[in-house]
Amino acid sequence: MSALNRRRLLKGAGATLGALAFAKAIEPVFEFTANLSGDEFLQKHYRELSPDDLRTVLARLEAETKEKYGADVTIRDIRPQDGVQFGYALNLSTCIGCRRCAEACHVENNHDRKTHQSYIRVFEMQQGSFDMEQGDATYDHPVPQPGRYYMPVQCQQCDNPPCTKVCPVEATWKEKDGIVVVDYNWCIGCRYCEAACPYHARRFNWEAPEISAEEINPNQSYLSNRIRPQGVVEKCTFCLHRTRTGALPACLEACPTGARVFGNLLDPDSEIRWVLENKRVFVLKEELGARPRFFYFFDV
Amino acid sequence: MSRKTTAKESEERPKHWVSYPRFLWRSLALATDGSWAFYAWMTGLTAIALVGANAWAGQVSSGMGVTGMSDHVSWGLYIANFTFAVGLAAGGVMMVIPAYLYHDDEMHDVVIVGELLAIAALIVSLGFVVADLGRPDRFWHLLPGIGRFNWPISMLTWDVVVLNGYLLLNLHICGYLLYMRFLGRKPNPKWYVPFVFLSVIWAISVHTVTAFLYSGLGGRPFWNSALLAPRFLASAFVTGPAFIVLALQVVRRTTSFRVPEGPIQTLLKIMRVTVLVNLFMAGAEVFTEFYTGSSHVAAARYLYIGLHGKTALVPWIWTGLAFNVFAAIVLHTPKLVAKRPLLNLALVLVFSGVWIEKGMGLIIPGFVPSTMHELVEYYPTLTEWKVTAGLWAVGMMVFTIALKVALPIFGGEVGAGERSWKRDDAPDSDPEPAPAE
Amino acid sequence: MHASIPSSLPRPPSASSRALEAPLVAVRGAKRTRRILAVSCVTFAAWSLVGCPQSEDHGAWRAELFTERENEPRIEPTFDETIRTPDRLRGIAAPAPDGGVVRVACFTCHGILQVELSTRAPTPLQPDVLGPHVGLLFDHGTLDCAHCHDPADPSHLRTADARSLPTTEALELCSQCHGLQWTDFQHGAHGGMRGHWDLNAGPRERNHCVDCHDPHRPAFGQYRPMPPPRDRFVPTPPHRANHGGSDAHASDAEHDADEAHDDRPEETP
Repeated sequence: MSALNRRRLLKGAGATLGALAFAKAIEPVFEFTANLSGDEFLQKHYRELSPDDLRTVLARLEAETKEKYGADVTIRDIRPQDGVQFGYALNLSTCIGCRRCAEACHVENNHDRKTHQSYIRVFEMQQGSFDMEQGDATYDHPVPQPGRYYMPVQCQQCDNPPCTKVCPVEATWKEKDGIVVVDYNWCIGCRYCEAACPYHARRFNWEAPEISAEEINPNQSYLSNRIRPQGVVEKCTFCLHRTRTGALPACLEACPTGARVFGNLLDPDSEIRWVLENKRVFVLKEELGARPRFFYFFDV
Repeated sequence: MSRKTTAKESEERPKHWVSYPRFLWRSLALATDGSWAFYAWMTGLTAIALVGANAWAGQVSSGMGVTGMSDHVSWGLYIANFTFAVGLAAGGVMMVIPAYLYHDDEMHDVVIVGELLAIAALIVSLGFVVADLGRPDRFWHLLPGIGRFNWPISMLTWDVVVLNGYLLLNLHICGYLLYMRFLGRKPNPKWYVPFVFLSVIWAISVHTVTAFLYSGLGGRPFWNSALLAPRFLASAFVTGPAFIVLALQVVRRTTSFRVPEGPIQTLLKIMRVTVLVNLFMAGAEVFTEFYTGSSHVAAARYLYIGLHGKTALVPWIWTGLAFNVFAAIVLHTPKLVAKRPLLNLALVLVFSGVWIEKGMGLIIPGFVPSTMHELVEYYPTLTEWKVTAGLWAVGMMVFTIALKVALPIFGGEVGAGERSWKRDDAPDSDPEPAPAE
Repeated sequence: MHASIPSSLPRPPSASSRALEAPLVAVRGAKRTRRILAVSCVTFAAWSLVGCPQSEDHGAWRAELFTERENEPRIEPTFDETIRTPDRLRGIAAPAPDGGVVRVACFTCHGILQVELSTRAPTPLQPDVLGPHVGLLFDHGTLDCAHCHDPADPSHLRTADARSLPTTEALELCSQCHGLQWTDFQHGAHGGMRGHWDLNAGPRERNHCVDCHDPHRPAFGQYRPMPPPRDRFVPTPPHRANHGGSDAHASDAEHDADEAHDDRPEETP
């Protein structure tokens, strides 16, 4: 009988010890949850937020940016315009590979400074070949080099996006004006979209972005360039906080050669329409059927 | 789990609200009683699991930056193990099919081992999904009704459905049979046979859906192959039986539960087919890739011979293939099969071989080179290895405890009546009635 | 997905008498089970189909391409598109007495000086010939000065059809030869711009040819690019990764870069 009791006692002690050890082992999780407000945890999907909810959320996000990054920012919610479908074209003959577009993206979209993140990668390609395996995105020599041409790649805002359909929680979707967006507060960070994207257009926040208060672009929007939380996926939004108010995207303004053409596909007089109708344009990996809205063309 | 009974039954039998808690209590006792070796084994596993839990907690807190993954290789060791664990879970069905579809009685006696393996492996695979999430705190977004479940468009939601469904099916089947056994009653086929049949189809679909998760991605030519699902199933039916044969031998040595030789031989026969089918399909893929020589061969080239001087996976994949070939030779040489230690070595090797081949050997080349043909290699960090070891330790704990509870009840040693049921009292020759009636 | 028994599976080894009769006994039960399974499969399939949202067609705009324009009068946008007038069109930068730079209008000198422009320009221009234009590099096809500058009035430009143009109207002159670029420019497909794509929302400013192309040496030069991405694990380009050893190639590239850097410090277009 005493043997049985002793055994029970030992079992109880073992179980208690195990539970305590487990609590100790997962302690770092509580550091993480301590920084997580209840409102943030319970926040609904962007498309389920009422105007009132949204105002509260935006105010909370602005306060959080102030608290965590020390910057006063304005986070707006800018909706798509009617009668507007965005499209982009890029002239590979005039692109010189100076990466000013990538840099402008970095600054405009409040990217992590440490990794020098940008939604645009510029590939230095071999003249006479379209073999991307010969491409190089990390070149650091004067451009353009003889025998090379340059191909910036960013989100192609596909009409049949492979990334949105794989998302298990509908955290990413295509908006009415053609821009594929992410609700950074709904994404669970499974990175299935990153695996599905054929254009390496998506980025994951492996850590919380680092950016100093004075470098933060205060003109922000919920679906685009607000500072992203740790552990979620982000992507190019054609700078929707600018373009939905009629302005040009940051990468286009930065382009010194005018290789970039942006506009409303539904406007027959738009620059983008002229390019599509008068240049021999092509899209990357057309065979995949993603139907990009980002076109490339050569002059000569 | 629906462990309901008809009104008629509850009138003449003891009330379930009395006997079910007793069943659970007794199970708890069974799960925690054992030899010193058992305690040492469980303590060891607990220690590994705690190390894993701690590593995971660190990852949640400081971000996935502690892993070796990058925007170029955005899935790594976790998803590799997830895929493998799903295969292991599906592999358990190779006991269910002979037992229920072909009425192999001896297999029927031990089929619970396969079902419990499925439960343990499913818990492991779900664990790896959670470990891979950047925001596990938002897990509730996946819950249908509360969150936004992108079903049926996203294959990942299908995976969530089939994995949890398969887990529930197996929990129900095992739970019901054990409880009936515990009560000393004949299980009512109505309450489990349809679920068993469903679980057979479900097992196939679990692994098919997992393969579709990858093969549906047009941007990743290495995965974008219709052969992926058949390959997954073939390799699952290698690892499942291999693990079960090894587990059955351990059970035979460490418990008084009677493990007949028949099931082991049946499983080995199954493996004889699947190990060859698996190798054949791997060969078919290799031919198609290399003979065509299109730019899509880059990933296969990286895997098998290295690409532009990057060769991280080359030694691994050849080791994996060698293990598979070795096991195939052993399994097809009766003289070698008769040598139990050699056979067991072959089983361990083929298990590891498939782990390499359909784990890292499948996931990583999907990302190397990247979709824009950039070359970034992937090396798992210590954190990832710790979490991985921890999750497998949890799986082994679940499997051990499940066997610890199930075998004495199933063997008739423990029941609701007398404390010490003799095994002879149990209707040994007819453990479950045939689905008729 | 249906409940038929996979026939490819090996038969079990057990050949006991029970194994022979058991399938017969099982037939009735199996039938019912199959029915249950069939019903659940059909339900499941129906559920999938109904649950499947009607996928939106995001590509409808494509039907608009290449269609005949309706002859509706074009509504003038609220804001204008303006083309910059670069300073260099208003004169040349000359050293000021205080060490700074002062912009001197063409007329300041050319109003009193008579300059012979009919000869082909030497490269670089000699100080005794051109005074303030010293060091000017000239490399514009086979042109010489008089192709663009009005010999009669060097503070003006001269078009191909012999009209005299103020320097600030250079665009018209450039476009006479560079028609392709001019067409692209007119349609917003050549040259940098800032402002708004939607001229109803705000103005737009376009670069002038001369903003980017030095008229005397119009080829676009080399520039130091902005820094490359610093990914968590930096990708290796194949030409540097080839054959495992990357040192030789990498140092070559670095050397090239340094050399070019020395020759041509960063320019801002």
